Amino acid sequence: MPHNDEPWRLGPVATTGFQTTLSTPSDGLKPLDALALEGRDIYRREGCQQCHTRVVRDLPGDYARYGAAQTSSDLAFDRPSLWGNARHGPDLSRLPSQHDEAWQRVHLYSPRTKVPDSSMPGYPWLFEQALTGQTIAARMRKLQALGAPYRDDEILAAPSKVRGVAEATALLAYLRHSSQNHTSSDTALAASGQTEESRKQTGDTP
Amino acid sequence: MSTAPDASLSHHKVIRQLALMAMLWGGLSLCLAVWLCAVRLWPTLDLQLAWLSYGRLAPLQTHALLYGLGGSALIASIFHVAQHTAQHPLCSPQLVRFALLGWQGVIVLGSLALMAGFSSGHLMAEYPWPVDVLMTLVWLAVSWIFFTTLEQRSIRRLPVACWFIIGCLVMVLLKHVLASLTHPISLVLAIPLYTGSLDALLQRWQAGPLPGGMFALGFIGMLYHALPRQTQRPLYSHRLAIVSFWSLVLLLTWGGAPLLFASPLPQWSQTLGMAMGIVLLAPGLALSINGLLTLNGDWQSMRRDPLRCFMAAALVFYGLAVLEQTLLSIAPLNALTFSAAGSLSPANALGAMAMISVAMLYFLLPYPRLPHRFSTRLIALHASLAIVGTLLCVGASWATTLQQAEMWHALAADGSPQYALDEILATARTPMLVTLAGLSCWVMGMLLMAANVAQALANSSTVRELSRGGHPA
Repeated sequence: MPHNDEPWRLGPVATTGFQTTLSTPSDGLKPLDALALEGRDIYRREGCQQCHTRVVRDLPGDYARYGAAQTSSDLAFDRPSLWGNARHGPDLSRLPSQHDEAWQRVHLYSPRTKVPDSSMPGYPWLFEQALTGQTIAARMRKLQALGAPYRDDEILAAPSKVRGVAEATALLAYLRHSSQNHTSSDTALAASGQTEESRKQTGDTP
Repeated sequence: MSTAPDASLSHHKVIRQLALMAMLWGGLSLCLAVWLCAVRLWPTLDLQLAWLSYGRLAPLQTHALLYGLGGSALIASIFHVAQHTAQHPLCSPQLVRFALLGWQGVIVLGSLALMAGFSSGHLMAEYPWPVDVLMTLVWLAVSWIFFTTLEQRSIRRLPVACWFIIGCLVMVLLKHVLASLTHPISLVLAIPLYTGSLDALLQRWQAGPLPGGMFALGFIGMLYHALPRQTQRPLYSHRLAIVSFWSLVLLLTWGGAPLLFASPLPQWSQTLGMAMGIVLLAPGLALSINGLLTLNGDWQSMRRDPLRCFMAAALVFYGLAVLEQTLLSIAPLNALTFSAAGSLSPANALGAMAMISVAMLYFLLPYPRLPHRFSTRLIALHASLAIVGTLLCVGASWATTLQQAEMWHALAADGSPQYALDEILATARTPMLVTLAGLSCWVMGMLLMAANVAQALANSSTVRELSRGGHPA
């Protein structure tokens, strides 16, 4: 926070301070790569946030299932933030620890083959449509200008990297991306002896 | 009256058109709500079409309810109050037409954009940025029309309803513009200016804690204009209304914090939000009680005039929604919500927002006097259906919240969760059937309203034809 020696500038300084406190990325936090960024766009487009949260609350029921709550710094590159409106299904932070990718692909195509009581709609069109990669470079360029540490060669390679990939693959790349699952909690969980196995038993497996 | 009767009549027409559109959006949105509830109960009903999937239709439904029903009714009331207070037809007829068409354009374009998947991802403000720009322009036009028309008034003192509307005009512009600032990438795509937690905070700030989110002040303004006229009594306490107006304006800027408890936001901002959320109880309840006291315990009159009953119910549900939000501002109670839910609660969306809007539509549509009034019995039936429907939905939502919270936070001795997620979600089934019944009551009510209005309009056009010497159609 800048040094404040002019009292009349308190307002702007307070605002910048607020934004800085809230959005300083934590150490080792990487922005989403091109494919995951496209996946995030699909997540927003299909309105996944209408039924799923992507934020673990600092409450017993939450951290017992999904690990420790995130901090603002873990979510520093989220534009827009997609914390979610309600939970009609599980929280989708830290997905890799819940199920493997093959399970998720089948579940995304036809949820009730994996979870008989699920009320989630199927998303077959995500497997038929492929990414065009038209706007990805422009988006990454803008995010870079806004502070996300993308390298120029990453941005240049982005369109060819995502072109032709099925949308479902991109969506899963986003949900399984390491930055989304990054927190100090992973170590904390390991320390408390709560392994992936025990969470699978009590978590969301049918 | 010095004003040309034609001009004044044409603006009544605009108000009536807005009111009819509000009715249409309300009906469509409630039908959609029934469908969405059914799809959640019986997922095999889902059509497997991208355009009609749950995730795209759910925001479309809430937006059609908030902006279509609530927004159109609000703009119609703003025009009516301006015209009525100034005793002068609305200024700038071009802008009036723009406001009418522009606002409908916002909802149509926005809904199509949501179906095509161009959502901005912003809670309760999911329309993409060009629609946001159009919405801002329409809102500026409405403000301009309101202020210039109000300038024409002969009595300098402003009625209290005007204060609320001015507050609403300013607050909506402020909240809408500040919360939706983005960097456009393409015509449908934009990257918001704010990031992470700050973006989440601003999204909830715009969604707001009080009924109708950013439209909160406007809805109270509507009622405080219509209630004294309908009951033919002055507002119970003008001073209380002014005091609660100012406290609401000053405190409402902190709205939305209860949606952010136990979130990644810094602790101090959550504590501040909690304090402000609790403080909001005072003006909120004062506004509700002030309206109820205006009815002055004259419960007998409600039998004769079901519109009063409608308004009283809206005020009670407004109070309930305020109470609900205050309770949610208390951290341990907030922890009971299974998630940091950002969706509107039924007490808020149906009880306060939709009911105030519908009451206003019944109030506005007969202007200028329709020769054939609405059928009182049908209004009474609509009121009872709306009240029963809302109570069912509120009860179902509270039951779900309490039951799921208990199961969600129950931990076994070794610290692992006691219930699996699907067990918890399964408890929502019965309440969801109740919600379905409640929403169906609302849809039936809206159908009755449509029939009632169509009948009255048909009768009045017949009378007009006859008085011109023509033949009735």
